[in-house]
Amino acid sequence: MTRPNFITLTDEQVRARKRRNVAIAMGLVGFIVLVFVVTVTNLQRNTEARKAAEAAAVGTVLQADPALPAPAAAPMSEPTP
Amino acid sequence: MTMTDRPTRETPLVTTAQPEDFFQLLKPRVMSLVVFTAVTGLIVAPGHPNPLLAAIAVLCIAVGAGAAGALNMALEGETDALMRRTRGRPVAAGRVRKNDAMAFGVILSIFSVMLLGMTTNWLAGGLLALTIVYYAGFYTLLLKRRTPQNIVIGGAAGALPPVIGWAAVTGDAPWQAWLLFLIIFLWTPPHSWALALYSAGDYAKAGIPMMPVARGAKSTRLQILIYTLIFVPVAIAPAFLGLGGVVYLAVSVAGGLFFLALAFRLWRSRAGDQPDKAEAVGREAALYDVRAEAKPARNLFAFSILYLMALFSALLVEQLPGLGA
Repeated sequence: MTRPNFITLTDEQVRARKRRNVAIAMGLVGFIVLVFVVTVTNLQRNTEARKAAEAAAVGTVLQADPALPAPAAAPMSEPTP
Repeated sequence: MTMTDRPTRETPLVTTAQPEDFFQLLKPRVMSLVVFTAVTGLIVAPGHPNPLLAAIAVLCIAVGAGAAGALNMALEGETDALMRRTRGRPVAAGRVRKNDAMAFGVILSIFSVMLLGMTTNWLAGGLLALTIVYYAGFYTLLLKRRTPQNIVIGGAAGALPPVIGWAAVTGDAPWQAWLLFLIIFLWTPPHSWALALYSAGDYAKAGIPMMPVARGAKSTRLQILIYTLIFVPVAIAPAFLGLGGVVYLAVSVAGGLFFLALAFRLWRSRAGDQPDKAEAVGREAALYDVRAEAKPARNLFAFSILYLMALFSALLVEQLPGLGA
């Protein structure tokens, strides 16, 4: 059985690899944080838009003539700007 | 010449590339111009985007543009090594392996497009994806080596960021956004050909048929003047179409007239008739250290950057309260 021919890294190569690994880790953490922030912000905006739409729909129903047919369902959220 | 004399750039088995080298792959200077024009599109567009999401959108556009730059450097490493202005780039200098640069560009492209689509809308994400594919695929692989009109057609990639910024806010791309596109699109030929006039030797050595290499310096100087005559009225147009106000009008007219004067002076000069200044090595020297007769070309190149920045700055300034268009 032949032994694999491993490469012995120089100190410079090890240091460079370590710095690259730290940069990749920071990049990945940054990306995860960004996705989290975007998700929470969009959820918040959509929830607020839905509440506003529901409030507007309730107001429309209260002001409407009972003899008229009910208004159409309100949109789930405001169009994304 | 012995085997050992021959310059070789063999792919090292183990890389010693630093994070800074990968950052250089993103072409930070080009990225800053992309960010600036994208921010302008984003702010000039009607609507009030969430500031946090707007900041993330700008980051995505910047990273996407940087990814396109990384792919360009990965594909052009051997060509870049032949030119004074680009031989210090990470792949050309052998600090980053081609495949590493390619993987870096592809991963950043995917992440930036996906995140921009999630953050704003998929029109903006799609336009960013189009920009990357257009620049790295269509321009770098197909156009650049085939036609002297390479930077005219390829300039569309650099002109898209304000449209992406606009689409990120409104979800559509109206004619006003495409007017900003047109300004950068028409600005690109005089800007790039002015530089090419005093870098023609490098382009010829690299086998790139830039206009001065393919058609000669005289024809290039004439085409720069013609493009400038078309570009300047288009640059002023936003002032009369409701996109710019008095500040924009003043900046675009004053700068436009100066741009025209420089283009006219260049047309009458002998810039590009003599070979490049071969001893000007390095990015800054290759850009600005030129022969006396090439100075009109260098002046137009330098002023073109200033003029574009001034136009978009004027649009931004007018968004301040009390200065609206």
